[in-house]
Amino acid sequence: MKTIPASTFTTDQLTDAYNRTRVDYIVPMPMTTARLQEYIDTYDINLTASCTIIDDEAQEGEEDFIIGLGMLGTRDDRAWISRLGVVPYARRLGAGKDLMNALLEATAVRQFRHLWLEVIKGNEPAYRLFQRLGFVETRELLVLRRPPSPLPPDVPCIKEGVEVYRLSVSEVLTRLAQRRVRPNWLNETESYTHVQANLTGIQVVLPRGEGCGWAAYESNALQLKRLCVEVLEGDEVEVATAVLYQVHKQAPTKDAVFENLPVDDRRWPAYQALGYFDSFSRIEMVKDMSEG
Amino acid sequence: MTNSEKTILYIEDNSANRILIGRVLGKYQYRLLYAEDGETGLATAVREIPDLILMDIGLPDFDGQTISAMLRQMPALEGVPIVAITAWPEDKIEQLVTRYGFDGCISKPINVASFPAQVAQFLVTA
Repeated sequence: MKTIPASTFTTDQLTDAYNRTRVDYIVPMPMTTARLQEYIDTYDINLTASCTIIDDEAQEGEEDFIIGLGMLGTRDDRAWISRLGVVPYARRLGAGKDLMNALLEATAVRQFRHLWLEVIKGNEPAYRLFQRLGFVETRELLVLRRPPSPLPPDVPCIKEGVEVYRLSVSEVLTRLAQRRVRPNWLNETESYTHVQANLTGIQVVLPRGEGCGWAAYESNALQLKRLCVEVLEGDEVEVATAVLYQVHKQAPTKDAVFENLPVDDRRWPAYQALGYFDSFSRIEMVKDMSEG
Repeated sequence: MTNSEKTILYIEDNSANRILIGRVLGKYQYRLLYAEDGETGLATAVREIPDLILMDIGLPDFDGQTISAMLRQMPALEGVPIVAITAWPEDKIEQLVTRYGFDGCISKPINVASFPAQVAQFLVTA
């Protein structure tokens, strides 16, 4: 087995390798080449710093040539491990450990201060491996879903005189950069910047000075994604519910996916009031690279 | 209606799973259609109006939940059962099936002995 940079391969080859590493996962999340490219662009994946493990006894072009893959996103002083996986037969040969060591080295060489990752809650072997490598748990994150459905008629925020304003993309990006709670890598302002062509923002003002909030989200043909809600004034849950209500009123036929809301986020009851549920959870972890 | 007049659409990206289900259902003479991703599945469902849709949840473009949600909004497909085929844990899949309007779920890996009867049951209730 040998570790080589992911930039050695085409996106087609990396997509094929990624899908093969996940073929037996409970939640496999396969990708097309177009989706992996979008992922690379949105999350600042640095392919030169990302790693593959190759089977040096196989020939390039053979299906099993790449037997492991780990991608490294890089932003400012931090890096993020993603799409980490090893094909089933190579898991007991130490390929996962080699891959992690290569990613840690790539992070250290580039002098990033923090290295982030997420692991699906309940994947204890992976969680313990990351702990042994010096990662510590920071928080639990929820992956939320909401199928297209009628708006609830009885939410208390439905009042006469609610005003809704459209925000420009630059206004949205400025506000995203000022969020109070640190977003997870997927929802950092850099991610929104990369999808700004599909970005929408609205501001919602409740009557009689009862509150004000805004939302930003990415929209494609079938889905609303990356839905961020912030409350500027008023009761956190009531205003967030009003904002979410307006978002879904504008896109009633779309399926909604929001990844990585912190489990203790005070706006979670507002999402629930609008029909969101948590489909699964991830554990976010970080390693302080100054600690070796 | 005989089996040969019944159309089953299987939306699944994994070729091994498509081959397996093709073999398991082969002798029952259904008309089997396949789609390798969500968008192809949507287009095929609209064009062919199958009698049953078997849906993998982990698809490479849009996942099975989103595709099911879109199919459920199409009047032409009203009453067509959509069945999730997935390895998701039971507690999570139950919620997903209910919320996304699936008519049921068959766990992966499928039981090749009982799978034809499970499929036939969904066709009866269609």
